[in-house]
Amino acid sequence: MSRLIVLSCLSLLACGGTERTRTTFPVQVSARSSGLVTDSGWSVTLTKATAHLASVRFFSGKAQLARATPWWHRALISNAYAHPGHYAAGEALGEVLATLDADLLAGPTEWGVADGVTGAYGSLQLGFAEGGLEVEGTATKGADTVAFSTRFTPPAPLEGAAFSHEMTTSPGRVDVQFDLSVVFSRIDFALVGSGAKPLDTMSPAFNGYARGIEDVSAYVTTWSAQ
Amino acid sequence: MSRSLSLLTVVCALAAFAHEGEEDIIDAGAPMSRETQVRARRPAHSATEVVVDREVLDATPRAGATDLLRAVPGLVATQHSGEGKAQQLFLRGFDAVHGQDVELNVAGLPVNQVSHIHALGYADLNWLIPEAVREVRVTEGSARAWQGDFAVAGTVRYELGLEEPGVQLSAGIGSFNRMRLFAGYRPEGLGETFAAVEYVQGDGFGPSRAFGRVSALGQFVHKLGPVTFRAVGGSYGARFDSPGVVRESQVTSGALDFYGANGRGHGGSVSRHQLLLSAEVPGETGRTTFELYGVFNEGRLRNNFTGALQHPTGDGLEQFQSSMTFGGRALHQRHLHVGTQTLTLDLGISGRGDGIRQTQRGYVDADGSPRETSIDVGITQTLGSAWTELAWAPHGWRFMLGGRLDVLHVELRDARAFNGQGATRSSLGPHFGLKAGVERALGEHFRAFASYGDGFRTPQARQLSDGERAPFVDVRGAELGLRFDSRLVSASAAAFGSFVANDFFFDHTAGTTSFVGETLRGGGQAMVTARPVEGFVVSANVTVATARLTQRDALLPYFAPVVGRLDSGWSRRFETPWFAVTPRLGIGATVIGPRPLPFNEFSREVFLVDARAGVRLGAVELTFDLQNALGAQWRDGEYVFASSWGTQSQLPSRHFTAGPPRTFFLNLEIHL
Repeated sequence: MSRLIVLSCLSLLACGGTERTRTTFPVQVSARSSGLVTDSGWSVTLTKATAHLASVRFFSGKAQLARATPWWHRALISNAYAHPGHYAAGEALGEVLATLDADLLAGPTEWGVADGVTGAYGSLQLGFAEGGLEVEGTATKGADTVAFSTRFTPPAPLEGAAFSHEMTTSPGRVDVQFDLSVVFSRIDFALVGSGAKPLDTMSPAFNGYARGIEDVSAYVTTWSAQ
Repeated sequence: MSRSLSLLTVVCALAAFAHEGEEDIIDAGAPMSRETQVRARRPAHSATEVVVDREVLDATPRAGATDLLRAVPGLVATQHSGEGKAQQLFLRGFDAVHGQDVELNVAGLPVNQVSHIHALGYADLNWLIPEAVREVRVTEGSARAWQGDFAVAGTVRYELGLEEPGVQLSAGIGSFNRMRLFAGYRPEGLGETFAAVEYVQGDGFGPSRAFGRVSALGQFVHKLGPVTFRAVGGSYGARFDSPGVVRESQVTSGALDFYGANGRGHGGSVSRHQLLLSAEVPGETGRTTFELYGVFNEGRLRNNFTGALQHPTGDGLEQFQSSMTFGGRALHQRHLHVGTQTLTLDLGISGRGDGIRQTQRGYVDADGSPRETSIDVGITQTLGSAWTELAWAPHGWRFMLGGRLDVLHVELRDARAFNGQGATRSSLGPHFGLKAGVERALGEHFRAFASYGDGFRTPQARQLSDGERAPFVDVRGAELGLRFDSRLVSASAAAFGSFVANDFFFDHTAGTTSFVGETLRGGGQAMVTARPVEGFVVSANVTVATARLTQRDALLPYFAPVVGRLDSGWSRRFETPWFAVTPRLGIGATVIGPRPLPFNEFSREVFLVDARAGVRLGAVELTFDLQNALGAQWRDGEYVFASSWGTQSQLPSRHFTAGPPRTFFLNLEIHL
């Protein structure tokens, strides 16, 4: 009875709620893997691309590089990539804490349903499991062909990838797309050190691969309303 | 407009201060005999001005400051960090945190600490000895001109005095090894003069809840000719552990007990020493009271509410503050005759200075070793105030117009500014407040009220920039009420509303303040106190409130929408051939409705029952107190924020502090 009285009073007094609310939304992983050409002119064909993922978290803080600038702008003024420390993650707004082995060549893979809260999302943090990003394939430049395989696991979750979205309770889906052209852009397959399969981890080519994975502009995250 | 009016009122009143007046000290429109002017209860000028007397206070168990605060109608007091830290207060739709919206005063000694390192207006009442509280005077809202800093939701003043003359000794034991010793003495024929001391210790109802405190408090009242002198002094020291907060998921998964604790080494240590001297001088033209006081407060708090969310070694914060407060107050009341009409004039002038030293630094959870210092400042904060109320009471009406001027000056020395080179900044700013009220007597027993008042709270000094006009938080409050007073029954009902132009929200977990813009609070309150038969008293009140962010049409989190309290007690003296027998029975109940939390969630409702039974045989009294008699497993505080306690998730999540389970306390008291 007392509960009934209290709840009746509340229904009159507390209508409207406290502004924000909890929400859930599905997250999938996909990749752009065709037409890969590195900055040094190698055309890459992948036979395997598996992302071993541990977590994705969405934050309120704006990304290190929030949006791509038009080509003519880049021609005049170079992009300034902020070094760590300029990015402030802010409040955690959503997350999927589940491991996933995503075959990036097989099309979009469901990661899971994120628990989250409504609000202005600004960035995401991507956590890799052991194995990181594992790739295999060939790189061709003129008459030279290099068969390669490698994997790299970032030592810490990658912070500050862009995802600007005003999250509400409207249904939709988040797609985290691996732009493999960015991942491979820094690799020169002429500089593979002692070997390409597996890639010499001390070689400049491996260094380019690792830097490509750690480049957060390689992860293009979009919201699709349903 | 309100500033101009209030300034005009202050100026007119100050001019009238020099005018010849009459000798009688009677509040206009209200009966008050000359014989009772020292201790007579001032008539209420709103439906929510109430006095909770000792009969009501003694009806149910009052183990300490939290229970004394719950005597205030509509007030919710939670103790989220151990028996020694200031309670978190909720009143009239305000989450007053540790005191920022409720002005607390004990016999003239201010309790709220300005610009406190832990929370604005930090009001620690744990030094107050329950037996030494004669009555609690509650003035809800901000409609009276004498209400000062932090009187946003209301003012609570505790008056001191022991109940009966002679020596009073008591010893008690209770659940969880709680032990209490008390000694008090009230001499015959010296009014409210007394001295009292208490020592309390206990293990607490779960891990990390041990505490101990000692408090000495005394009051000396002496009449020398027409002048009544009063001195109040006290010393207090406490040390306490704190269980911090528990994440709800830790309990549901079985990882932690409901009464468990997270982290270690949380808690604190506080001390307070105080002295007030006052003289009440009846003059030819009026009555004047002078007060001087000094309060020394020191405290160290260690909290970690978030685990290791920000720092891998733990997010613990150690806060230290030491402050010295000096102040003085002059109050003058007189009658003025204008033609055939009599007006009552109240004037007040006060000054308060606070010298504060405060630091905050992180510490490593594992061993308590310090991390970086984030705050290291010295503050000198000065507040000068003048106020007046002018009342006219013709033919069953009473009209009051008042105003208040407060000027704040802050000087701050920040040792960490400019990479540790240090910097000073200062700020000054005034606040004008208008006060107005209309009363109408409706027959013999009823009175109707309408009132308006601008309340304020001073800002946190650390947030001021150099040369800034000190920004007070200004609240505009209004109230409509109806009151019934008879010999056996007092009852009242009121509707209230408060508007704050630039409100802010305090984040406990990070110790930061977020400005949220315009807020509007409103609600209603009903109270009744009845003494239907000899020795029996029942006092009940219920308050409903809402609090909204007006620009975003959303509820503010954490306020208490529904609060109810019942205190009922029976005690009667029977004479036998050998000695007098006085049995005592009492029962109390508290209801707190679900409070809105962030993300459209609500806390659980609270329903608590307390009971008291006792008997006095001659000079010996035995009392058995049972608190939370129904054994409810209840959450004293519920909060939503991110932590790493037992989880990898960084999302905001429900946390709580457990309320005490069923506890008993057996007390033996001897009167000599």
